[in-house]
Amino acid sequence: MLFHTLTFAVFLVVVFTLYWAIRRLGLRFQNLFLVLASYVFYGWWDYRFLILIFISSLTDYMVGRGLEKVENPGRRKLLLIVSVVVNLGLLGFFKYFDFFIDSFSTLLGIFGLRVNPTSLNFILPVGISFYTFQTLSYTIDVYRRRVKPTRDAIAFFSFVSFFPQLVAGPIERASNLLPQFLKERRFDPKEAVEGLRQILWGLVKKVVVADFVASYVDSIFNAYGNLDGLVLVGGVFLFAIQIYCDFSGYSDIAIGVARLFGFRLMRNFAYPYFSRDIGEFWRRWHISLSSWFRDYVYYPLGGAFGTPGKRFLVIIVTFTLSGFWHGANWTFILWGLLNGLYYLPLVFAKNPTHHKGVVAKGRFLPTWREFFQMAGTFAAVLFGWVLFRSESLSHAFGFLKRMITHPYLPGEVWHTPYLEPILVGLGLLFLEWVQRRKQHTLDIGGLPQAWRWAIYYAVSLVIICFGTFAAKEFIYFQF
Amino acid sequence: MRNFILKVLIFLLPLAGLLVLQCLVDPLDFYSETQLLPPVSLSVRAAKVDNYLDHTDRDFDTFIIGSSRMMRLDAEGMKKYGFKAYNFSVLAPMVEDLYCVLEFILEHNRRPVERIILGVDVLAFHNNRPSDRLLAVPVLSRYLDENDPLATLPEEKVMQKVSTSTRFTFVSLFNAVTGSERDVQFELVPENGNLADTPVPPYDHPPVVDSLTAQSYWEHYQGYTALDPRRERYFERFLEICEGSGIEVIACITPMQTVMEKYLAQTTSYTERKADLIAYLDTLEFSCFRYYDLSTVDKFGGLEQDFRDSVHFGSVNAELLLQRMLEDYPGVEAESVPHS
Repeated sequence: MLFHTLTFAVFLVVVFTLYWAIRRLGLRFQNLFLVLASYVFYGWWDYRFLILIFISSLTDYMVGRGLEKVENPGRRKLLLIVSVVVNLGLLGFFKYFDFFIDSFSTLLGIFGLRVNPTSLNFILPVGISFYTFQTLSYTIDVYRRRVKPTRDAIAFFSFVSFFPQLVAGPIERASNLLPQFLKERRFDPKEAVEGLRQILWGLVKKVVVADFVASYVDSIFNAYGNLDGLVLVGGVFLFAIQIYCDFSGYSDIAIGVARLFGFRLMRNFAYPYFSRDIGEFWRRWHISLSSWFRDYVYYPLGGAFGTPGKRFLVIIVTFTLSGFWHGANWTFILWGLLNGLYYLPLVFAKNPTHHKGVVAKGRFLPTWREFFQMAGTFAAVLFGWVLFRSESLSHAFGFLKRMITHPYLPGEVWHTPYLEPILVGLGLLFLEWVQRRKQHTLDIGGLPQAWRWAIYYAVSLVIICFGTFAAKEFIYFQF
Repeated sequence: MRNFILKVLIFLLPLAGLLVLQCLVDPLDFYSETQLLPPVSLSVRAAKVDNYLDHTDRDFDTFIIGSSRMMRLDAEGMKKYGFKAYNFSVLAPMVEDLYCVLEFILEHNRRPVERIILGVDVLAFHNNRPSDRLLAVPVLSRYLDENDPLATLPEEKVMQKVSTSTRFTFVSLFNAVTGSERDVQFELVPENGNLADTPVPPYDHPPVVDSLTAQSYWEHYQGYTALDPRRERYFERFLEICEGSGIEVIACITPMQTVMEKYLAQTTSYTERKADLIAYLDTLEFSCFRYYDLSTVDKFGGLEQDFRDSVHFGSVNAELLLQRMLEDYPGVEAESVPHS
């Protein structure tokens, strides 16, 4: 069930109505209803994979209960290992098995050994990387005694399967989301209105921008061998717009929907393309995943402490793993590695600049210094997106090579339709720039009511008249 | 909570009103006969059906069926071959359109049909395009199999249809308020289905890709990864019916300007799909059927400039195309068309 379909609209209205109607029956009943609704939501794709969510939830609930009772460090570690093995085992089996088999077979081939690898060709269960990491963070935090384990199984199952963020995040922490399932929720009209605003803006990003530019991106990346450098640069820019609008649009809708149900999810995007260095970019892009890797990989491995060699290794390992999280493909691994390399100068700089806060604060335009910092960071990110979007390393290198060696546009190829989506992308960036101090671009709560309503109608009309309703899946579903 | 729901409903009310309005205005003739204002464009399918049914005799022996490109073929001019023809070509037909038109003709024509001049676009076999235009004309779409997914508009297409219709509702309202005429793309001759301006003097379109047409065709080819087996089946049923009814089918793969073909070959799956189509047509064994690959003008001695917009050819090319298709047809002596 996709957020931008009529099916979901009907589902949301029904679930919202029943959810608040049954509030008087008690919290546990309301949570149970959420579990059922979430399972229906997920089962809409493929009900068979519900068993995986159930196994993950049950394992981590039991492990949490075990960790509550057991004091012996060895046994506690054993329980944690059980959780890690089950969760990463499921993830590895469904997502990475074929990749490892194929890579191993290729490696043997280099040494002249031939094997006939058995690929399982499983369908990747939607959202497995997201809910696995979410539930894993719970057991790790319980193990570290940072989160109190819950005895309320229904609340825990709701926490793992909560439908707004089940399939593509934000990857929530137990410390933030779980307590919200344990206390009574009251309907807050202000929160609900704020949620609707965020849903509206998420829909604009998804159906007006991301899905509109998607077909242009596909055509450029598929036919790059016939196109010229400038068109390819345009294609990478459009992909940058597409992936940002697609994923942050999903996050906006997820956060907005959660607000309708009385939940506050963490922010996942904070205008990442206005970052002044790559570190800032990673604090603003897919924040829930970046902070997950920071807390559960980077810090435990030593973080910014230790010898230069160790610090180098920790950075590279963390970024490479985060690339690998996105998919079983060498392109993602190299993309992660590349971002690690981008990040190194920030770690080893004597006086590192840690850009925080809003760029050009108190001014409309940035300074030249800020502008070039943003442009440089954006260019580095674009370069990485080529790897991210390509289907294989040879595709990526072929694309990059053509971009550099065929820079010109012969007359007839200029008669291509790429200008319109580029203008749409630039328009979106402009609006985001204007609103960069706000939580999201449609955060207009401070305006007079007449203005707010006028804007709501304008945005709704833009969605109705210019939306692309091709039921395209969100890109991050494949991860 | 009650206030919140009330506010949301109040907010949604004008939007719901707008959706009703677009249904009533029906600027693109998507719905039934609800139009409050003149449509902003002509629904060719509905117009051809109406014109044909209004025809007192309905005694045609020849039908021209195909896409907007085939609409330029002169049905009236076919008298010189001894044919009484009706041009039943429509905009952007998929294979099932051709099939439904054939069924409609066979049901309503009062004389046995002897031949069909058929224009086949490579796009007609697209494996990711719904039959939205056909489904808007129930008098034609009723020939589709009830259980065929092609006979149902997918949810996203319904939404897309509403979206487009809403957009053009504003155009209709603007026209009504300002008194502007609708942007008439073309008019039809009710008696024979011809374009009203047929024959036109030769066009002089330069051999440069027309950007708007390029964009439109490029978009059409998105997601076209193979010939649709369901559409192949409709094509075979089309030929089976013709074979059973003794109707000759003389078909061609329709042409476009060479630069446009080159552009599509560079940026879309056009070349692969055309090769698929030719391979598929070669496998068909129907004695009533023969086809010609006339996808570029050099294949029928046409004029590179006689195009309105890189895809839609003019009268000279239409006549040359027809001559080439009828060259091998028994009993037909084609008059040669002078190249202008």
